[in-house]
Amino acid sequence: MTGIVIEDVSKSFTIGKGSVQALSDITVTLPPGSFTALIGPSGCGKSTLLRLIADVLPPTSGTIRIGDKTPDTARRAHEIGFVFQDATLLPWRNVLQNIRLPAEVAGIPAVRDPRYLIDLVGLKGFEEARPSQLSGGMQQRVAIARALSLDPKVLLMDEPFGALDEITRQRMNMELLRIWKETGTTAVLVTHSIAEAVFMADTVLVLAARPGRIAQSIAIDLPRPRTLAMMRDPAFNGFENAVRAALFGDEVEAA
Amino acid sequence: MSGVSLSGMEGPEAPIVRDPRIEAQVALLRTLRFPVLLVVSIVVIWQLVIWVFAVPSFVAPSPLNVAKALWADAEMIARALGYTLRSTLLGMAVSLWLALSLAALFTVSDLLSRALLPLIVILRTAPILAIAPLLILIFGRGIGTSVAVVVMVTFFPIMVNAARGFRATPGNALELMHVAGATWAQSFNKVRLPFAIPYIFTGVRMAAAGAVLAAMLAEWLTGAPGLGTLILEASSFRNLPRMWAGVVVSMAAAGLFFAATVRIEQRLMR
Ligand SMILES: Nc1ncnc2c1ncn2[C@@H]1O[C@H](COP(=O)(O)OP(=O)(O)O)[C@@H](O)[C@H]1O
Ligand SMILES: [Mg+2]
Repeated sequence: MTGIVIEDVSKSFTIGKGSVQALSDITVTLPPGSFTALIGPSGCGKSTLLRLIADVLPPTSGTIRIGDKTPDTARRAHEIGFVFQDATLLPWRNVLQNIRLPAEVAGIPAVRDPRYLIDLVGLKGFEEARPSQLSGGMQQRVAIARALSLDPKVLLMDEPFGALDEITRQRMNMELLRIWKETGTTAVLVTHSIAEAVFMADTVLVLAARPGRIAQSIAIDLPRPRTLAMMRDPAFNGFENAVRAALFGDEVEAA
Repeated sequence: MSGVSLSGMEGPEAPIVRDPRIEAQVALLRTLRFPVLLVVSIVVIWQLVIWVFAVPSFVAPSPLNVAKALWADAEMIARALGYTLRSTLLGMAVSLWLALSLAALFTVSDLLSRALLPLIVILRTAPILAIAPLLILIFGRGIGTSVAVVVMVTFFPIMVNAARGFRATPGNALELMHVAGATWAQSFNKVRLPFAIPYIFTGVRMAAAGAVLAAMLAEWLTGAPGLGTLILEASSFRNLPRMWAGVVVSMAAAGLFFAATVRIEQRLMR
């Protein structure tokens, strides 16, 4: 298993003549096999941080390590799985062909049998279906199966269930935890939901905006496997309140 | 669309079973209904005008005479049509390849696109008549010049639309390929090109409309044995029925060529 070490990472974008500091001095270690949730206001740099880890963008300064590799090396070794907010399936490919895409690109046979993955994400019988024939939730399952197809060491998810309704979302979360357990990857989940962050993660990183920085790191000391019943637990509410306080600070009392 | 039924939502009554082949033919007839009606009307009015006003045959031949010429010169016209269509298809193929390659190159380098685009626009605006001697010098009096002229006329709309399509690729799809460790060529072939197909076909449709005419224009300049030359010669020999037979065939060929590109597009988009 592979951890992620982020040290003094900053990222600024040049927009026209000016420059925007998207992330400032991020230092954090995500242990191997852990589940981390990123939460924070819009524009605080959550997506940017995921993109830096996935080597979509280079950091302006600082270093990122995935295990003993740089993000670039890890990416080329197919150790990174990425799930976007919209499923980003190729509409002319069916479910099976979409899941096979990473293996095709890598020029190697799929590490995980695509049919096993389809089963894992609960889409048996839809192998030949086109994305346009699937609901939003089903499309997102395909995206997750695709991200897992080369058995990545880290799974990065940028608000993967943000567009889904509450019920589907809860169900997908349960399945995601089951899949994460089964695959043993190091997971990072960007979310807007406090309850979701607490329910899923070992550690919730609360980010603050302008410049994007880690306001607080909250360890979620709840047993696994997580169950829906836990959400009624006072301890669960305690963690929710802690995240809320870190997000809003004094505003909680003022309102 | 022949979608797989995933929902099982059909009512208790069995749906009417449809044969897709028959349905396609019905659809074809339906789309052809108005063009056919139009052509028949024009022919009838044309014939009526000639009868009623007693138009002499050296001004305009009657449809009947044109039909006779079409029948009598069928072999000659078919050979000319074959030559012109070959130039058109070859030209379109070269044009498509060139346009896609350049548009793809533009996605790699902004600088290159800013350097090359003005040059291409100049080439585009140059009257073909003016550079005809140069073309003939380079490509000769045969099919080479025909292909070159077709390329010059059809290249621009295809390239502009393809470039627009290549720029419109969803950013997430490209990031997905990048994370998967894809090379530039892999991203292009698996994502950029397929996403750009509707744009490319918009360009091809715009180009196809003028492609046959471009091939004939080249023949007027070089005297290559196609439909253009046939029409020109018939005209100079005052053989109006044959000239009009050539015109009718070239118009039909252009229309069919256009329709074929639309059909291919529909096939690919399914
Ligand atoms: N490619 C980019 N170019 C310029 N600015 C960017 C780019 N990506 C993100 N930003 C800026 O960086 C900041 C953080 O963005 P983002 O990471 O998308 O936030 P979040 O995902 O938390 O909503 C925002 O101010 C955004 O405008
Ligand atoms: Mg975001």
